[in-house]
Amino acid sequence: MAEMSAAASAFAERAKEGRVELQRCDECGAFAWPPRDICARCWSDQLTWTPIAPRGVLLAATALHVAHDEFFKSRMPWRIGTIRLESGPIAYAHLSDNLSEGDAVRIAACADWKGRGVLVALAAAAVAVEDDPKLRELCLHE
Amino acid sequence: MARRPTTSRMSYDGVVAVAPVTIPYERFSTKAAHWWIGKALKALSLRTGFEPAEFDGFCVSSFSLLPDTAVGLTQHFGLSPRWLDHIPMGGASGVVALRRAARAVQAGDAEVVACVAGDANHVDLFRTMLASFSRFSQDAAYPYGSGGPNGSFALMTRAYMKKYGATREDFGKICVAQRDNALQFPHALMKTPLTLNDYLSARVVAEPIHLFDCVMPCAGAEGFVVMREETARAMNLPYASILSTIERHNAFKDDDIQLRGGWAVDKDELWSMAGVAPGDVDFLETYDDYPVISMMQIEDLGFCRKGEAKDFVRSHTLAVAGSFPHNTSGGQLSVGQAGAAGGYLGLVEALRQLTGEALGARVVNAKVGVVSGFGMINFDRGLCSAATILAAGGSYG
Ligand SMILES: [Zn+2]
Repeated sequence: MAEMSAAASAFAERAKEGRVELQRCDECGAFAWPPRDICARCWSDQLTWTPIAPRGVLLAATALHVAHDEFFKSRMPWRIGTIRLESGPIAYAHLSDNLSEGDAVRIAACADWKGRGVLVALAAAAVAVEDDPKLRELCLHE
Repeated sequence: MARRPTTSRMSYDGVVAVAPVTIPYERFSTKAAHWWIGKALKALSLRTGFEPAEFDGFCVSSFSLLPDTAVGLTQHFGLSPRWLDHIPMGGASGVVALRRAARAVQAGDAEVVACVAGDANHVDLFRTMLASFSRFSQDAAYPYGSGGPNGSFALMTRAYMKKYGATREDFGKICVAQRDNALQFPHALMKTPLTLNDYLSARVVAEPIHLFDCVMPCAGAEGFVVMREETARAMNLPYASILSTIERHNAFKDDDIQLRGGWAVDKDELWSMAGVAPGDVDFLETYDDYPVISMMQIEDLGFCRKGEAKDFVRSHTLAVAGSFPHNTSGGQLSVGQAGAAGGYLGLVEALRQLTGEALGARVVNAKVGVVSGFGMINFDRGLCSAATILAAGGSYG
């Protein structure tokens, strides 16, 4: 199991089941990312895991050609991007290959081979993570 | 964002920085951070003539000290300071150390403060540090593959290029000029010339970041001493005066992608406190973990308007003998990034230039230098920004 905070672990448990949930502040309503203990807007500790509208915009994309991890090393180039989630926060996501900057994207979540919860961005029309061979390997493993 | 009124700030009159030292970097080393920091302390002692017991203030920055902090180092080095600080701000550490130490000396809380940054670099250290750099980074950046800041900076560089029209040639011009400077700097790890063609044809790391946009992690240490001006004069130590400083964390937190840093919040205060203008500056040392960050600093510090660093770079020559001397020792891109010492490199080089102690190319008649720092990609952006304006020998104005 990879090192992660307790809040990230709670995200990973949900992501593993395909649930795209972020913490939402009970007091001010703000969604939070990355997972945390205190709302960055009002400093409340009352954060509740809440399903988000699984949509966002791809602001910037890159293709990694160098990585430390064997999984990525053997699948270069690997695309990641910066997403503005419709629910508010900025997040990184693994990208399916057919996305361009400025695209509206659909957001999915899964647990990677190390048990880390990760966000994945797909073409808005895409049906499932399984449609993309690389993301399928990322998310569907024993 | 709330701005602090400039009228409330005291000057740094009567406090100076002396004795810039660099412990020559090594690409890999089996030595611990403690060795590198201790070597820098010894160099500071030799340079100033102060015995170890005479340093009553100590400030340290390092990523590879664990399980120690500054506290453990006092016993390791036999220090008994009455003022102790440990600054975990990466690339902003040097300027922040300077401004804190200066206030301590000014207030009489300490007389002679040794400021040191140093880091080890054994074979697997860089990788293990990346995995546990910060909680947000560990949870929400590290799982996305690049295993370090290359991915984050690639996305920032991509967005910056798209918004402002900067090109790889512009970044390359910065890198090539720094290499020219480094070829004259004895401690630079990069010893061979770099052409624009070399830069452009280098292998890709994370689009649009290529090999020569990235620093080389290494081991090393940097240091300087802060003391009262009258002490420096009595000891016959060449010194630099502190005209102004700024520091800011987590600025512009709602920006989609970081295209500017905290300097843009505080730059008016930086210049007004110093009583100088950008045109008075003889050289600039920016924090160059990637060249796009140097361009952001050129803009956000006020050397040109936002988005126009590309034009600024195109209209200037950036080597030491050029129209706008920048990163005069070669910067991290050519000297190497010795962990937290990378956050001291520009400041220590500026002190050398202003005290007539340049080891490499010398900025002729340098009177005023600007140093800025940038640190800590906690998740998707660098959180710490700082800058200082320094003057040679207290003679300015
Ligand atoms: Zn809240």
